[in-house]
Amino acid sequence: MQSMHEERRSRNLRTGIVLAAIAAAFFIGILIKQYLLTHR
Amino acid sequence: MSAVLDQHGHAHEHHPSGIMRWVTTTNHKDIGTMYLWFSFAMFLVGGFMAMVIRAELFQPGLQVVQPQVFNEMTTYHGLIMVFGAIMPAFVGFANWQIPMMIGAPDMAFPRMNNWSFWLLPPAALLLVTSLFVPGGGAGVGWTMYAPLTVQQGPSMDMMIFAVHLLGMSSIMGSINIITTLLNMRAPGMTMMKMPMFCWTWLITAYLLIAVMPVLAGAVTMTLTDRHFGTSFFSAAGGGDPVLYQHIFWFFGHPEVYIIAIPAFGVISQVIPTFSRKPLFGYASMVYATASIAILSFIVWAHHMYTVGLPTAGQLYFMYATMLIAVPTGVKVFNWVATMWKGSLTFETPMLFAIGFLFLFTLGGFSGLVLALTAVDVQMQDTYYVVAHFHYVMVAGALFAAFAGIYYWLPKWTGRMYNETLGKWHFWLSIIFFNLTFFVQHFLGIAGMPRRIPDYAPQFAEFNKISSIGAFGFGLSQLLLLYIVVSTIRSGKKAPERPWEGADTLEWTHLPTPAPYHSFEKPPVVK
Repeated sequence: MQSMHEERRSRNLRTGIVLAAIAAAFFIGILIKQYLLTHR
Repeated sequence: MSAVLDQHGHAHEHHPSGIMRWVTTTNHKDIGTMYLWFSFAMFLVGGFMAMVIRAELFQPGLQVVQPQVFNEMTTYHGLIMVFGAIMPAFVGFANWQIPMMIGAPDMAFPRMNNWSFWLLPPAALLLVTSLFVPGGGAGVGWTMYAPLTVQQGPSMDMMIFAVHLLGMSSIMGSINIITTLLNMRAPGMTMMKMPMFCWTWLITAYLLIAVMPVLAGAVTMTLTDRHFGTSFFSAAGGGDPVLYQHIFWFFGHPEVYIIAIPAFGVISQVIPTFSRKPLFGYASMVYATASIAILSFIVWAHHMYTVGLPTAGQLYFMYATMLIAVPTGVKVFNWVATMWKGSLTFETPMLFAIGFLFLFTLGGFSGLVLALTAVDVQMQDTYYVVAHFHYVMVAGALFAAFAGIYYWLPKWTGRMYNETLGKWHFWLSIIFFNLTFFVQHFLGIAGMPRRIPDYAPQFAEFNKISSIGAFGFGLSQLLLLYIVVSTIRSGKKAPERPWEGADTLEWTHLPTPAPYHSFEKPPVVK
């Protein structure tokens, strides 16, 4: 039971980190895109 | 929908009391409650601003506020209602309902859930107090278009930081919701057995993760333009203010669906319950919702037809926008088909759901009208646009939230609301809402511009009607406050299953009211 709990926690953490990385990529991406568009 | 084999309701009620219960809570029900009360408080603040706007527009000329204050009221009304009232309301529903509907004990990240909520009060405080700093509030419109934002006083910085906080809260909330829905479902609860409300939130949370960082990026660039010598949006320095609009509406159009899709979810729970039939076309509802979400990413420039888009661009955005009517039509058809030959009863949640169905569809139709480039260049920034989006946001999202409140209030509180008063709330809301906004279509077609405190005398009659409607609508919402408070304090005890047509886990597997901790052992879903 305990290991199942731990397994779920680490699975949740992995999912959360992937989603946070996607959000960070969108944030950084829009800054870079805008920088490139205005500094040609 | 799913059938369930066994039952695991739990009733451990140990938790801190007093204010610390709410500050430190990681319980999804407590956090859901806080979201809902916060949302209602913001609804009253934003509603007060709407009353100021309508008081000023009651007759031509300047009577109540100066033009700068009028601009501030329209700006803050929009921001507060979108980010402070409607979005947190549906996050409140998500917090309360998602774990109970999928048989999970709580959200996947309970501490982050607490943090998501507690970012909201400081954001609201920043936003509201920015009205009182030297130079006054930032009257830039809720879209915060450059270059006006670069020319504002310190209130603009406070607004930007408030948007950052609100964005962080939304992103953390979305990560939590997606992780919960993907990883925490009870055994046997496959994706295609999830209640429609859960599906709509899964799709909405993905939308939020994709677009909130884009808004955060846009306001961050505004901040660096203001203070750090960059020229992202300043033509004088080589930047382009129209690029701000592209970025903003890349966020802004999906934002419309971030608000509307959870509303679809609530309606998809309420209509089958009071029709005593399963939701018609469940799979097609899922695919239609996902299609709407995907299409919402590729239509943003229909908000910008008058900035000088190339004709090919205008045509593309016109046709892509009109395409959204197809999956939306599928959803409306399915809701009507669910009611078809059902054993219908018309309790308050169902009344609001039917009100939603009529009026949201009307808002969709006026959206189709505005999708036409040739029409939109005439209607751009007129009251027709204001009427259109209030049919979507108020009669769509807000009425769905009302339906959800009346539907789940017995489960949350263990008490029944007063049905007669609930029906009064519905009829007053629907009459005054139409009085307020239907006439604005005529004002817009006649050419009355939005966001202007004065107007030509020929618009006077319709504006008077609209203002009377708005005051009535505002007062009617105090009735909702009375109904909810009186239900909590002295409502009649709710039966275990007040709605016999409800078949989701929170109704079939948990007592009423729902215990503080539920589904510590997951149920098995067949």
